[in-house]
Amino acid sequence: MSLIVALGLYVVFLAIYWFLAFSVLWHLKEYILPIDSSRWIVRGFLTIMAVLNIVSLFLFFQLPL
Amino acid sequence: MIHLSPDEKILMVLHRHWIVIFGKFSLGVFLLLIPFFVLSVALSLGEAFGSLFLLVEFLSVVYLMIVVLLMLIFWMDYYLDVWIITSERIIDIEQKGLFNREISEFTLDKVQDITVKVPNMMATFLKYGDVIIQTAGESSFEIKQIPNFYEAKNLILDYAKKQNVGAQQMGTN
Repeated sequence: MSLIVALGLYVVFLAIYWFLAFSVLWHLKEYILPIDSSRWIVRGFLTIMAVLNIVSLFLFFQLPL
Repeated sequence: MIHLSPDEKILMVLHRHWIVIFGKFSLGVFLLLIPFFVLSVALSLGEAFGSLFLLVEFLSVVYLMIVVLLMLIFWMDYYLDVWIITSERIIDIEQKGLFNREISEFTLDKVQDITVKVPNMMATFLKYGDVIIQTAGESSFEIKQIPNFYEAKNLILDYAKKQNVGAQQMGTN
């Protein structure tokens, strides 16, 4: 039971998190200028966020629920 | 997206000086370090912490995810506050939070006078300043905390002069 509640909360967190992340990316994609290196900064952020997400997923399923 | 007319070209793109984002990023880096401190304390407690260690690890990663997202939002707010000087107009894009954005623009022939302000000692040392542009429509545009503000001012004045000369020649013909 506690696993279902925790999983529900975690899924809601991830949904809100990636909604905000993709909102930021949408803004950047819409207004980014092709003449600077900001694409690499965005890619860097995305990579870190994706890696942390994978680590958090791994740790979530290690929890003694 | 910004649409340029066929003869129009981008002369200068101005973002705020890096010092504006530096303060926020320093705070972000400080916040990123906190879970490592907490984890090292949890590790030193070892057996006393027991199975709670996994929970602390998980919550630390979730916390890191939130801080990284906050830093991305800070950066987006910084990056999307931009002034684009083209050969015909100035476009002022201001990002206000995540979903609120204001875009205004005016043609260079509307420029009446330009004031450059270096507001404090830090601005003097780091070479940034504000450019205030008075336009014919009684409104004024302020470009705050930008580097290369003298170049921007000169560029705007040069192109405003060209636009005005062009308009006068059209009028006499």
